[in-house]
Amino acid sequence: MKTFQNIPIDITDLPQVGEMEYKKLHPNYFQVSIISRLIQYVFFLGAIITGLSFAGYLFDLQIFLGALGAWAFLLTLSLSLTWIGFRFKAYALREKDVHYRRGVLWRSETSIPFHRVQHVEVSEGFVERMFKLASLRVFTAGGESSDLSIPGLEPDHAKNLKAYILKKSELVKEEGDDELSDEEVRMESPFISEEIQETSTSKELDKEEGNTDE
Amino acid sequence: MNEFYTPRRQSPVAVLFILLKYGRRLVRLVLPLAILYFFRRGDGGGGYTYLLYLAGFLAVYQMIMALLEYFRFYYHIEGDELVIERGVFSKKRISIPFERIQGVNFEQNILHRLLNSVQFKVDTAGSEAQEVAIEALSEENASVLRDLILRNKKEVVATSAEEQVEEKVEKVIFQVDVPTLLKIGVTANHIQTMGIILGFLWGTYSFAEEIFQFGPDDIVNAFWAYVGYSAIVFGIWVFASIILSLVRTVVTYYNLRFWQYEAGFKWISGLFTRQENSAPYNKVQLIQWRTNPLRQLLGLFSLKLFVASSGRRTANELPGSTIEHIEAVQKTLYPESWLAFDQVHAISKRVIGRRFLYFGLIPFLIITPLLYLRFEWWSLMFVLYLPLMYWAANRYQQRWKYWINAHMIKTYSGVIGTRESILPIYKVQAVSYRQSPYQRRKDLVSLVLSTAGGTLQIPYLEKEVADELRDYILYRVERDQKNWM
Repeated sequence: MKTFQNIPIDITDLPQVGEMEYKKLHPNYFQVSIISRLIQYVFFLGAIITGLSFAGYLFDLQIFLGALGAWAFLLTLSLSLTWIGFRFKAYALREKDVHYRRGVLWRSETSIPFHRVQHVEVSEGFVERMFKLASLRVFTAGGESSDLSIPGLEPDHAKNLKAYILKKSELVKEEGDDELSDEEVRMESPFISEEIQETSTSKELDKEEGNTDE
Repeated sequence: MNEFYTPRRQSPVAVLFILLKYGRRLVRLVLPLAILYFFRRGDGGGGYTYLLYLAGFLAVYQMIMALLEYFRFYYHIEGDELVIERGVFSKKRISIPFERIQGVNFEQNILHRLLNSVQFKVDTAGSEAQEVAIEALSEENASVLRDLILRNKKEVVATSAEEQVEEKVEKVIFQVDVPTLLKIGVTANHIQTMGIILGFLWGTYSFAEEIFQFGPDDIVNAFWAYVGYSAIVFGIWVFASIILSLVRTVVTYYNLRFWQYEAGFKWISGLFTRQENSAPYNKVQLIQWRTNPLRQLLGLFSLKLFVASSGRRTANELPGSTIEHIEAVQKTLYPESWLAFDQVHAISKRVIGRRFLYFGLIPFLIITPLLYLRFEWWSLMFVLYLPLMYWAANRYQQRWKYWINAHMIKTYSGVIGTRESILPIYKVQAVSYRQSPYQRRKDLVSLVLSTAGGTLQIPYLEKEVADELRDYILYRVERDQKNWM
């Protein structure tokens, strides 16, 4: 296992990303992505019909059915890919970094150390809100390719995660009063137990989160 | 010197530059109207005269605005801030604290140079890419103002951090003279041009076919006629491409000078527009240097600095340095102990097969039938393409190397030319894995390291090795308290 030998610490002692457990997204997020996809495809169908009518083929039954068939085929394909994609999407948190994996055929896995987080944002899209879900977006200075967007989180959970990451990234270091000690945060860190969202401490985190929103 | 402490206008020649700026904007505004006017159908009636009036009105309006902009633009220094007041209708006051100023850059286009003036640009540290520029100052005033800002900035920083003020040092690292520029132009990568030529020849072949109207009988004659014809075309084309890249190189890099000042690198170049750029040391994220076989013979490298500035990422290419210069740049940026690498690592051999498939076999299978349609059995010559691509894929894997020590990652790659990159681990913002379906089956990943200036990719690593690397890099980033910018 020791490929890199001139490095002055033993790599096998380091916490390993591979060992850690990835958390799947909320089951409802599957519906959210299906609905978003469907909305996209309705617009797509609209574009096809507009195109056909401009080209004067709208009333040519054969061509129209052909286009419709192609559309239906693409839709089915895209929905099944959405399913595969949904099953693979997952996130993980460790004490010092956050990870997110996604992709259908070509997969990717991005890791951001908390020290490099510049900004964290909780956003709720229109469809997401219908299913009471939110997305957590983590920004770094590394540009779009290195930013994370973890969808399919319960809003409270997303807020907790945001507070946790902000705290760990030391972006909120100045606010000393109601700051939790490192030990406490570790105990409440969202990847150890999900129950903490129901406990009173999550309200504390919410408060802290409110302070840091400015 | 004291004159900078009270609000003052720009150099009067700034009127000219502001007018020019508005002029360009006007042209963009009026152009659609002009097109409408010229392509009007028939007489068009009175509606088009209104268009003319509208254009005239816009021109006068823009001119007045330009004058107002000049007369309502003031700058001065107040305490530890550079203050700019401007705005035609509502006055806007921008104050930039010296500690947020990362650098001052002068830019001169040909008109600036004729009028002995410069455009004064202030590079700020804010993540919002707000650019502050004073259109025109006389050269003298500009350098006085710059010294004033940079000196005060140092005092502010020094008193707050209680650091020692360093000596002002400016040392030229390299300079590119005209003969070197010519060498750079001639040895540029002409392969792209070759591609265009190939497409061009394909086109001219069908063209020639139409002109000579040869049937299948005289195909051999026509072929040789075609070869002669295309040899001439080819010659002209290569000549043109070399001249073109020569001109481009000279215009962009004329009199390129690259030097270091106390806080970073600066360089200036250009024949018509002389642009001065700067890269403070701490903003340099990743450096890369490249060469091709011809340039290597001449000992020439092209240096690329990936810099994070004002929230933008910029990659600055600087040709014409030698390996000594590049070493000097590295030593300026990083302690010597960081640059010691010993254990060299390779990427997976599986990349050979994949690259052969993507760049060799698949293009071969697609292109050969097309060639057959046109050239019949001659197209079998194309089979030679396969061993060539196999060689290239093999060489790609053999030459791809990387090194890692406690502070840095270094990579080396290239099939024909070479490209080397060096990146301090603490500059990494995020670590990503990319996996194609094939890579997933074979348990391989491509590792992408993102920085605020650009990315570095190490392809086709065994998953186990990539895991080690990723964990180590994340660990280093988290441990290192150094500021990446």
